[in-house]
Amino acid sequence: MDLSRRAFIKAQAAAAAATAANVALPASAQNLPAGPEIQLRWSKAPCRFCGTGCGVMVGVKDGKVVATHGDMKAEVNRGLNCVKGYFLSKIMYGADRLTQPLLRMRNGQFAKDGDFQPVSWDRAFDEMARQFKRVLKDKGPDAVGMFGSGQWTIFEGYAASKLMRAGFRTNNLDPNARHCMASAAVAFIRTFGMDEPMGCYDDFEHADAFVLWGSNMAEMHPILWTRVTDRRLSNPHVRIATLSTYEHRSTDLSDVPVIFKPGTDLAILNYIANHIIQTGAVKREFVERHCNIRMANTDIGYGLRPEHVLEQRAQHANDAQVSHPSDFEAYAKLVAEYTADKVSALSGVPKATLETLARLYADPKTKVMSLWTMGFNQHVRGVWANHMVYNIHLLTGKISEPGNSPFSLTGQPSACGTAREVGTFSHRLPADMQVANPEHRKHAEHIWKLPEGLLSGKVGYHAVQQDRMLRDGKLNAYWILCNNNLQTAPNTNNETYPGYRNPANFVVVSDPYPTVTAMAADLILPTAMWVEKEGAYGNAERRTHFWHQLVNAPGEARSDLWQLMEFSKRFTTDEVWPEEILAKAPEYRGKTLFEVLYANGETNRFTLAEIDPSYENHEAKHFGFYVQKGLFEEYAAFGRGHGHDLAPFDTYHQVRGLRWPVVDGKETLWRYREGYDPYVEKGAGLQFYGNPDKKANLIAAPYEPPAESPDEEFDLWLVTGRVLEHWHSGSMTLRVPELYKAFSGAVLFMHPDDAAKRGLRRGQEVRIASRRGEIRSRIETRGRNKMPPGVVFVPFFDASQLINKVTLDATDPISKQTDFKKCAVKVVAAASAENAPAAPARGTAR
Amino acid sequence: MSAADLPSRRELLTGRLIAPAPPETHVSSLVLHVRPDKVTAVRTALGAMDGLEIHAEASGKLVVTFETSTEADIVARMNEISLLDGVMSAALVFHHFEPAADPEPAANQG
Repeated sequence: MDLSRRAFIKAQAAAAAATAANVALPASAQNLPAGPEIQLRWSKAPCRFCGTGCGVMVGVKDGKVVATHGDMKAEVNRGLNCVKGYFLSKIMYGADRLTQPLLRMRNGQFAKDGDFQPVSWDRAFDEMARQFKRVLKDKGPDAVGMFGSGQWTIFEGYAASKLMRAGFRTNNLDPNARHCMASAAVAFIRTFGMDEPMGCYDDFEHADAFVLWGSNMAEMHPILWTRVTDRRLSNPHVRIATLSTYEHRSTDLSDVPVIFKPGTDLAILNYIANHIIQTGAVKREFVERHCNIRMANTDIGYGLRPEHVLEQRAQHANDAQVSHPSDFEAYAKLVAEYTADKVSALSGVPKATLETLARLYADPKTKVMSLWTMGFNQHVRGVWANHMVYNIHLLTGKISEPGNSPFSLTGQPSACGTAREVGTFSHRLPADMQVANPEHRKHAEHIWKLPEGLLSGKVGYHAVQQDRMLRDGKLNAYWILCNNNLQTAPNTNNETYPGYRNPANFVVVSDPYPTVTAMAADLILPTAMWVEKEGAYGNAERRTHFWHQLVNAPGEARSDLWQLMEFSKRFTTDEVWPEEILAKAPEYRGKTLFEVLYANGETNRFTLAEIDPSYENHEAKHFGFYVQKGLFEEYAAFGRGHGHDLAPFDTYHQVRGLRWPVVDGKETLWRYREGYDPYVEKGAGLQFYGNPDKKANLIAAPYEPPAESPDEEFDLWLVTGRVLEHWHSGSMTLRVPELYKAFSGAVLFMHPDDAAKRGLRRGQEVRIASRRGEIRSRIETRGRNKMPPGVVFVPFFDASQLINKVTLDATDPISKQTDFKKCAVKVVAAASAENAPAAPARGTAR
Repeated sequence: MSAADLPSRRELLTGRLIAPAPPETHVSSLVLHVRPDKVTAVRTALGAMDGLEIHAEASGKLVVTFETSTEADIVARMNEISLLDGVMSAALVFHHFEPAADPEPAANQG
């Protein structure tokens, strides 16, 4: 690069950054010399990673994505990018990308104990259909299941829901999002009668205080964090409080860092409620007009197997979800025992800090945004924790207006759009409707043009239950798409892996890469990812955003959408629907599931002529109609006119996403508040219209301890989670050499005193053992995560150190979401012979 | 790919498949958010970093460009900057790269 060119490019780089930061450059720097343009074709897409939903511009050259940058026109990130998003262009080009179906075979036949051999799609689907039909015939719909994803596109989740619920007549469909935000989703429905936040990211520019509950936002949602710090810098009165069980980047950068003992966040929340009541900060009129007060059932167990002693002992393990009408006095009495003294002793947080925190909520002049992710949701009392934060926002009326916002962040790009809005949970239908509600099923049958009574009202197996049923031989034909469950599920060695390898089961994994989950399957299907297909995601602030197919997938890799629809052609209604249904609706006889689900006159009503001719669309061309548009418009019928309104399909290809409900072309920023939300009746001011009485449920609950706490033998708390460079299980980020190099292998973060007490030193190889299993890792006593004594942290991205062999499969009994944050372990030196220098340095070029 | 070149199972499972990159020049830009009382110290620390330039500053926000020879260095530099005392956030905005010497893109040697 010569000097003038270098100067030009730097000037361009600085100009872009200055625009993004809204900072003026010195006049001299603004005159950009004209330079040669690089011949790339740029198109918009949402980022493939977390739930923030940043817009990126994707540069394509010769059929390959060669560059990405933050989209200046995207409101979410305004041109900024985090380090993962920065390397998005590389996630599709890992050297071990799968390009052909692989089937375990011996002597040319499928064999459970055979080796993977490449096969054609026909051969793959033949075997898969044979196995699914065998299981359906022998055991019925309950023995068939699917584990999907919050990374599925909206179209894929919707097509999967139809295939499982209507095609195979089972609700054994659950997304990996069960592991990351089921508690949040369930609490939304229980509180407001409708899922997803009332506010949006615009709250960042209006709040006076940010309280992070169990969220390391600086590392896990870095772009949203820049909006927080921007607000903090421009308005010196703004305060950031971060609650965590250990110190990390977000606590370092906070004005009020709060380190508490695992599980005691419940007590802190009730203390804040108590403080609000005791200091007279309750907005009584708001509570009376807009809230019902209820008492939760207590002593609800830990979502373990029913024979577990903790479940046997629990009084309300079987009716954990039940709550009872109550009143303000009873609620005040319940929280009255959470005094500063008691909670300080329980949580380890100084009284003065607790008070500072409580005052942020109690002060009527301070607008508070509460933010939370996995620390709250992956919690054996995750639903309660979500309730308790709504309770303090409801007590003070700090809700549904700019800056006053309880806000649940999400970890996956379409956890909201696909898992929740489309309803790929075992208990849900689109637009917040429930499988167990006969009216809702009837409505779905009507929109789907299906015979009445076809859909099953039986709630299916949730994620952890699917693993248990695979192991127990009750779930036998199983399809895993777009997730890496063997690495991310809890207690994986005892509860997940045995089910995959159970000879009674046939397990299919669709993935772009040979993850540990794929390698444990019987059939691997190679998947097209991200911009290799047309897609749609929904982010944490109700923003639906679309992208076009920008490149072709390598080899024979095909999108999940193609796989689901193509597979449906191999079944006829006579094979999978009961005779009594077909007798009443004989016009469905002899048809393929493809015909009744996707070529039903609705899904296939848009022709290829409607596709933007400047983009490829593999699925549409293969099936002969505009698949994505048909699926989307049919799906949107569920929510339009019911508070979930989506804009017309084509609009989303033009804009940088819109926040639903989109009514008369206008998105909704703050729900339930008159003037912002068109669904609130004139003159009402505020209506939580998701519930029939238009009130929110303030549900009171006590502190209850975690399922497992350290004891004499297993004397440390284990917390698991992510690191900045890697996203979840690392199946994509580990393929990016730069990210791999930056954080190549998991380590055990430990307090130096805990290490010294055990005679261990930094860098030493150790065994981390629980009652379930153990792994080896190396000790890190410095670095970005600083542990308090008694607590250790291990990230879960590293497939060679499967920390989920150690974790406990305890779940929230209401949401069925796993608690990955609290179990008891011991850490001991690895035996000396095995402690020799490990393999050559990792991450070297090959 | 010959059999000898095939990745081992362990490499597949752990994603340890790293391809070498041809020599390149990378220009990146960053927006930094810095605590106002620490801006001077951060400016000094940034000034000592090779290939780094500060282009503008307003109320704790700094616009910075830097040059590196690999993408891996971008990540390393990002981490280094993020960990400076007073830096609250560092976000990437722009990235451009081309072969270091040859004006024509070098053939990828795989």
